[in-house]
Amino acid sequence: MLAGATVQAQVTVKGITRKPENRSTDTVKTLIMEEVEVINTGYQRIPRSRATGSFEHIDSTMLSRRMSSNVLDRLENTVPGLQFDRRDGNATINVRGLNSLSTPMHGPLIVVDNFPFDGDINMINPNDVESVTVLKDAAAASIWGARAGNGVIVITTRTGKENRPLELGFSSNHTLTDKPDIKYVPRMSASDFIDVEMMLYEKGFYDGTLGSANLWNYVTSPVVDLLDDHDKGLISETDMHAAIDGWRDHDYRDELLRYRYRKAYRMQNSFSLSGGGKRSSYYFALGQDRGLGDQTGNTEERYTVRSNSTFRLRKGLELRAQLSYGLSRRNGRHLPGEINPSGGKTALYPYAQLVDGQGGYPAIPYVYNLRAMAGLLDDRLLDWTYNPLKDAQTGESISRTGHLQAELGLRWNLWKDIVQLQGTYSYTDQRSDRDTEDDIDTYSTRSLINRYTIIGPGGPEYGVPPGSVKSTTLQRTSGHRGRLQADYRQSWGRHRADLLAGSEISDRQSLSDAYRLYGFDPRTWVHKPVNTVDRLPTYDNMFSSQILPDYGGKDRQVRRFVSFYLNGSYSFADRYTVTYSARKDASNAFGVKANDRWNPLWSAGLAWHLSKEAFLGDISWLDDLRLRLTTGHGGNSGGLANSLPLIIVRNSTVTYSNLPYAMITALPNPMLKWEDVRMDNLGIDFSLLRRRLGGSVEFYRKKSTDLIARDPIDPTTGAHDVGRNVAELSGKGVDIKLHGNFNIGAVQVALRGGYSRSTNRVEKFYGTLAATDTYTDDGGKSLTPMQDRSLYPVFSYRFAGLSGDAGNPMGYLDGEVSDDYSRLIKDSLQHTVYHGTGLAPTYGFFMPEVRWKGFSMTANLTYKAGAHFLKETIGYQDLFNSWRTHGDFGKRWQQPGDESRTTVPSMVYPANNVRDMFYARSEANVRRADLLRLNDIRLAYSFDIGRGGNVGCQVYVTVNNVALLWTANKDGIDPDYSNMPPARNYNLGVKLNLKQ
Amino acid sequence: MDTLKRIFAILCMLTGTGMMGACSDFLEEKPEISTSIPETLNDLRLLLDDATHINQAAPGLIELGSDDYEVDYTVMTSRPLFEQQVHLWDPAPAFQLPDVTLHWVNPYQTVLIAHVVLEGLGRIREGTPQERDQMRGEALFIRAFAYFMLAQIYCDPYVPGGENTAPGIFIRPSSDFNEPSFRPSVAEVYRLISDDLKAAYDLLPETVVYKTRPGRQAAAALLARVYLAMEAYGEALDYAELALGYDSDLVDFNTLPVTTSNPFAPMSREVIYHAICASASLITASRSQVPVDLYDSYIEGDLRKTVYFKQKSNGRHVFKGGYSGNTVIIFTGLAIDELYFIQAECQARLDRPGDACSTINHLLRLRWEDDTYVDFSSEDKLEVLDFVLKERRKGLLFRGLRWSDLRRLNRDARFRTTLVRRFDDSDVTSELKPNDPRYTYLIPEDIIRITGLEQNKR
Repeated sequence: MLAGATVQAQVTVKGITRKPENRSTDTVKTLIMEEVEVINTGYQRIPRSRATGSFEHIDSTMLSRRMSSNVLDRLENTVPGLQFDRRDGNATINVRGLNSLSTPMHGPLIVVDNFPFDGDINMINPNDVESVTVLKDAAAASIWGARAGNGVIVITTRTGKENRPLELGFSSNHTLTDKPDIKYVPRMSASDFIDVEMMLYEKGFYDGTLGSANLWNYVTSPVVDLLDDHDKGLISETDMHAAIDGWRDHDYRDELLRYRYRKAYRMQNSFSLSGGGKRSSYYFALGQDRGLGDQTGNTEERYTVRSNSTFRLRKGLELRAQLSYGLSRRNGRHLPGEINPSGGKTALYPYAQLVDGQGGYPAIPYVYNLRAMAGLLDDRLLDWTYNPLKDAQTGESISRTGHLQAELGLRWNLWKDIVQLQGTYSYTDQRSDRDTEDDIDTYSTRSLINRYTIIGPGGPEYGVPPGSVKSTTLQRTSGHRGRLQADYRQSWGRHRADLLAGSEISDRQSLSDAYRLYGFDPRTWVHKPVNTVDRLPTYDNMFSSQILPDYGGKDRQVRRFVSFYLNGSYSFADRYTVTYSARKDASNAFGVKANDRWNPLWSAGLAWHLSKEAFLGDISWLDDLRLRLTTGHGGNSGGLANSLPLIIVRNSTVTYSNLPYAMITALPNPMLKWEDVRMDNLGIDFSLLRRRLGGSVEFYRKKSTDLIARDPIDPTTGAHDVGRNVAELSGKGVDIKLHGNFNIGAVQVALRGGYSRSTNRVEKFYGTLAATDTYTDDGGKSLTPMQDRSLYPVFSYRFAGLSGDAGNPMGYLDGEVSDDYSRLIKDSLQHTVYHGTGLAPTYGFFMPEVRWKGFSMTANLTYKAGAHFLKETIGYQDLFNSWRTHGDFGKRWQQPGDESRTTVPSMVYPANNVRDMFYARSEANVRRADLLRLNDIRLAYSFDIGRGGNVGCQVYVTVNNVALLWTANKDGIDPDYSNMPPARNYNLGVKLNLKQ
Repeated sequence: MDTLKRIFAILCMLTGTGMMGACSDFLEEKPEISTSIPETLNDLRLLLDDATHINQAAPGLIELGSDDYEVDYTVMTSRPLFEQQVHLWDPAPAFQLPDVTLHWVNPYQTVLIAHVVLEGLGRIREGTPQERDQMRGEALFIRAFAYFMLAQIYCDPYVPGGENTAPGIFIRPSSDFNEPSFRPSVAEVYRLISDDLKAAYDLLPETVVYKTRPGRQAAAALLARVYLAMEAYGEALDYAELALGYDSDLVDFNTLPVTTSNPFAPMSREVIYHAICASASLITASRSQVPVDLYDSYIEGDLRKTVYFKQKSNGRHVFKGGYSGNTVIIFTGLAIDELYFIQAECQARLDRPGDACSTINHLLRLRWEDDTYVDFSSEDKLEVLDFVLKERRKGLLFRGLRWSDLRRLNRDARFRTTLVRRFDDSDVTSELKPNDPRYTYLIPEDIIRITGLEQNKR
């Protein structure tokens, strides 16, 4: 890994090229000696050569390759052992798989400089980040405690250095993002959908709804309305068909793309100033981001300011002060790419008309059946129609976040340079508010007012006063953290010892406050009171009498920790290093008895710098060789070993009595034991051929016992499952990182690559087996421990193809082909197909870089292999009842013989939800998730200008999310994303660096 | 490690947190302000006011098998398979996870709340005896109510004078999930229910402010319902009259706004204890209709014809007269009118046809247009009983009672009926003979698999 820094150091120092082409190899070497890679664990900075654990260091060059407003996004595909799991729509960062199933957050602990970060990570400007260290092995938990069971990411911000001249930096970056691909999920064509509706109408499917006394409560589509009108003789056959045929080529998503979506644009500017005098150093930076979101009217802004400085007050006493503030603001409403009209439906019919030819916005069926209501509505009511495009233009929605962080550290050299005492205090305050004004033109406001309007003899009487509905949510998180630490550092002869011990205390409170005002006048900010206590009459008694829901309230959360830690290392002759670290921490988690609170964690490590041994000293091609070994124990209380039930008092009142109430949220669970996680790591770092080739190979092994997971219990107890110690899990893996660089004439080529493999297996499972259909449910998106299986197991039903006569999906029951769906879906789990895990066990990246003079071109390619996923398909029950469609409809079985070409079952009427479910979860819909992706390409040109070349310049162009080059599935699905993948974006930027 | 501990202790002092004890105090703070263990009497009060899990938890199976509603074949087949199977009295409906929640877990969550409260009362010492008694009474009442509902679905009917040794419903011993559920006999289940209710009666207050909470009248009314199901007509009469002693006022339907879609507000005049069933989604106003002969049995002058029913565009009628007071049409709680029906039936059965007639006439007079009702009178015990039973069905439809009544009346050759499902738009039919084992639903297979307890007979 040392050589990893070499490559970077060679080209860029602080991100700016300084004429690398003029340097001889010797200068490069000197530079290497200067730029020793330092790892920041958050408690101490240690040179890589004395580290025994598994740490990954990502420097600013690597971080500035990818432009994003969130620093964590820039780590993706740069570090082996780090995987971003986006299958459920959010990015969960996964470090070497999972060790504990019970940690509330499965992601790693995020530390900024010295302390865990509280608040929104988007408030850290990535331009202020110097480097990132990822802690991957047992050391992570033994240094950072129980919350670090799934790894730690330490973000180090930039600082100045003493005795350095003033340095000014400026950067400007512009990003243009393509419109999102909202048509990514294939849906049925309007024409197919219309044909289905006409078939259903013919069969009498809508008779129940159309004949219903409550038809106004159920939305019907325009085609069904026309068919009904035709039956009633209100419209001629020709006119009806003309109208219907006019809709057949329509797709409302095209209208959304055209009238709502746009290319997003974002500008990021930053300015920094750093340097240092004899007794002080400083770094000061300003950042400004402004963006236009991907929908009309959406804007976002962020302003950040940071100051990091140190002062030597007198000999042996150093003061460090950090202050940062970030302010962000988002504006505008977000309209989803697929619209849910409610009123018994979950998706909108594809031929919905959102705009007419004349610039108007026709109403679409929404919540109520306006056609059925037409006769019931008084014309003094507000308009009760809905159009999504029009609605998105009404009112306003703003969210603002302000994030303040201040840190003060004092370091006192107690005795020579050997014993030091340091104290650090940090304060975080994040305030965010979200303000939504649904004005009188907004559908939700009109609908609410109408609902509580009574037409009295004197005209309308309002239960909800006309005017805007203004909702405000305020959130405040404030945290205090203190740390006191003693360091001992001494070298004598060939010995060197480093020891530190300390304690830490933290207290974080989150408060939230929400309220809603009715009849709000945006001009005067005056609102009107409403009655949220009594039952109010509703329009025409349509909704009987109802209590107006009271919205709002206060909430508070407190997280407290007390920790003690110890960390030591001893090196002999620069060759052998032993490390040990231990930590105990306790939190105010619920229900944990005082005696059980303290969570002990430890790790020990050994490093052997082999290349410094005499017997290897004369191998000329070997520059460096190191062997590292760590082992450690961690654990987790699982939170709730309560002997009494937990209840939550609700912030609202119960429907009928309007009384406050409480609910049981957890059953008493006194038998719960601690989880224990053991982790071993063996690493080899090497550098060969005058540092042309280098890298590291790390093997690890994990064993978790008494693993806590949700385990099914007799539902008669009132709960379906409960946290229990159910399994023993073993895991192993390897992380390989390689890099090489060589020259072809004046062209320098640098190649970097990473390979990770992480597998796990449940060795023992002593929990209860749930029903089979709970395992085939989500295609490997849940952890679900199960004997001899990996976590995130993917199960499916065996599929025997479609029947030749009717296109029915067939399975196997007791070895025989069967279509007894109710029994098939409940059949024993051992008769299902186990495909493996849903989370890629093998993944990696490849980053080639070519440099010539000041030009450099890099790319990032990634691959994933070994996982499976369950693709979405058509379900006829959902199609008929909820309008939920899928493009597989076009591939369905239609006539005998089709069974050889397709697996999509025939459309049957009436639909059978269990038949749909069997097919949707059968092996016919499981796909391999293997993929090869070109993430980005970057072209940069660096040059010097100014007097004596004291201004370093870099101009670059980047394309992100370039293309999915290959996937194992033939359905055009990107398996990394549950829904649509992010759109491609283009960056153009410039950086200037001025030195005196 | 001793040295280590000493260093820790010193550091602990240095950071100002003091000794370990002080650290403990610091760590006692509740992580969530709204979450706690039940440690005050008020916590228990709040649990007992969780109407969602107590007053709205009735399983839909209490009504789905009854003959008071019909659906079109096209409507039925658009519903999930389980609902179709239940509607057609399939011998083994395939419970899916949501069905287990609606028809099994929800009522047992009420039982869980009762246990948490009862156990909490054993631990928490504060409060006046009256407060504590009321909460204990409410807990016993809600548990008995949930068990009674379940007993109408998942175990065989109680046979008066019989051994009743068939397995009863699943009983929970406590809130501790480590203690297994068990199935005592049907006899023991009914003993448990009636004992709990009698104890609850003694503990509960005379009057209640909120009808989501039970009082003495509710306990007595439920006892009357339970004894009626057990065909213990003497006790049923005693408790019906005891309950009527608290309040016997009926609503005169002439005063109601007959044409509106929701003639009764929630917790209206006749309601004693509010409870609804929101999990019988086949029986919503848009899907179901009442059988023609049932609708036609309300004759001219009977206000219930317009108060209870609304015409659909297909000419059929749908029920809208639920005491639940909103779009949920199945009220499963206790109301004064039911007490009159119990009283009248028991009087008839106990050879007091005259009293039975005057009881039923008093009620029906208020259901008819002013001065149009002609009093029913007969000295023939069987004729009176027949009249009362017919009126009981007409007065108490969609109240979670018909299924239980069918199970009870089928044992008597004079009143037994064979139920038939027929559709205008399909040839599919299904039949349910009196005393068919399908009058007791199977326990969801998942529950049998996890508990290993006995399944019901087929």
